[in-house]
Amino acid sequence: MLNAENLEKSFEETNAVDDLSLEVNKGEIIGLLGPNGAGKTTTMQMLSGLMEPDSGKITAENSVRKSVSVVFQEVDYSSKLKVREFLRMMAVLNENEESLDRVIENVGLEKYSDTMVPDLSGGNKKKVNIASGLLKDPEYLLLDEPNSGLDPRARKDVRDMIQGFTDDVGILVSTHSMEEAEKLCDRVIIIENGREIVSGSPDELVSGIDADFVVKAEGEIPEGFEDQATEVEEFFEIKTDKPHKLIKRLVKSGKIDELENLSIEKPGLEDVFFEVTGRRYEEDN
Amino acid sequence: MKKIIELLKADLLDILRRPANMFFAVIMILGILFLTGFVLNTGTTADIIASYAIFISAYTGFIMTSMAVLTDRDRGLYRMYRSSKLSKTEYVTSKISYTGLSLLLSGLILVIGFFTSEIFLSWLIAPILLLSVLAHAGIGLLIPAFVETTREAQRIVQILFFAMVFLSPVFYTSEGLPQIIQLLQHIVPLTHGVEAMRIVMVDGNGVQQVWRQLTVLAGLTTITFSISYRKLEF
Repeated sequence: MLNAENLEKSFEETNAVDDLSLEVNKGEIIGLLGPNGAGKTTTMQMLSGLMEPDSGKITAENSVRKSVSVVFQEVDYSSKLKVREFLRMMAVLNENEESLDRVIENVGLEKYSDTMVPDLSGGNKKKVNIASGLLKDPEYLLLDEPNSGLDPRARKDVRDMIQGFTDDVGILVSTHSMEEAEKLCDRVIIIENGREIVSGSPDELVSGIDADFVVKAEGEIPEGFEDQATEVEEFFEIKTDKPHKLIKRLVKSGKIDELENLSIEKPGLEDVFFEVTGRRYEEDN
Repeated sequence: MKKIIELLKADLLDILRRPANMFFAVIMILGILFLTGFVLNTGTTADIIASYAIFISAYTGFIMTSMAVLTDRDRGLYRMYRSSKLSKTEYVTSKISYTGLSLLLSGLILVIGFFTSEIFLSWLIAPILLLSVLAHAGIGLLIPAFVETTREAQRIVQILFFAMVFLSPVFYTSEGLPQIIQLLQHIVPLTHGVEAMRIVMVDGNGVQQVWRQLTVLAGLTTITFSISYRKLEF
């Protein structure tokens, strides 16, 4: 188990990570969730042994630096190298040449072996990135925003690939997408300003919301709905098990035209965030 | 060793697959040599060939080392290497070995000098060039060791470039300059290299006349590498 206890890290005046504890077991996919600037990348760097925490402790069965591989989101592949050449280099650097073909196959890059890395699509560049991390043959794989900047199809591709990894590897995925985390992770840790605000399995967290549906809209709460609605700034939401009845009432109130972005959704992690913090989840806040 | 070769191979492939960049770099180097050495020169052509041969490898070694590490950092590859099983010694060795390419440029200048001026070719040229490249690669490595951003580094590189070009007597000779200026010139490491090359290539002297310059370059190599290696976070 990769275990982090009470991690703290500050940069000048800013507390990037504040008393954060977490554990990653082999065979599970953990999501580290939070808006941009929440402290996810700093946490990843500390967990991989590339950055010293100001305080706190990180332990694993073996040396952290040896057993953890981290894949960062921002890699600019402008070197004129073919996919196979680049991954061969990474395999040699990781003393693991024998796994090269298997890893290329696992991430689905066989047909791109002779393609120059800069010419690959965004999704395939992410796969090169992940393949580089896998070539270390890690016990724990940390993936920093593996799906950022990808179209829905490429996102699904990468998600399927991560879910297909062997049970011998513990995976920690950082993401700012609640939807992505719900689809991918066995357990999530939602952080904000470097602190954990809630953690658990997505089903467990979502089941804590006492309603089958959430009606959301922007605008003033129509008369007669004040007791049911929770409002933050220009946005409100109403939890209900019978959304059709609620919509009928809204129509009757004559105020429905004044509302914007009206939606009916199954409760998700965004609603968990709203419930815990009293604020809407915005990925880049 | 295998890891160092693999990193070098990747760097070389990247260079070789950009022939236009290589072509213009060589043209620019030869253009400057022609302009400064054969048109505007204030010393003899042999003086300029000797100093330019060492300047080009020292400067390239300095730039290549500092920018190679900074570029790896900017591209995100540095973190990738750090997360792999590559050691700091292997990484630094590969970046230093890469600067060996700069010796090819010196070789090119020496060939031109051989046909255009009267220079003495001696075995001493090899250790002078090598020590100069290493000393300047060591200075180059100090930059990413101490500076966080590429923009900051570029500013420092520019200042050092101007110090190298104007303070050391690459494109002129020191004779006739005031004593204080001549003393100041010795702050710049390249001056020692230029002096050693001229003593060997222009005056035809031997090791007894250049041991002082060689010692300075060797000392500088040791100091710069010790500091930058210790400071470079990997």
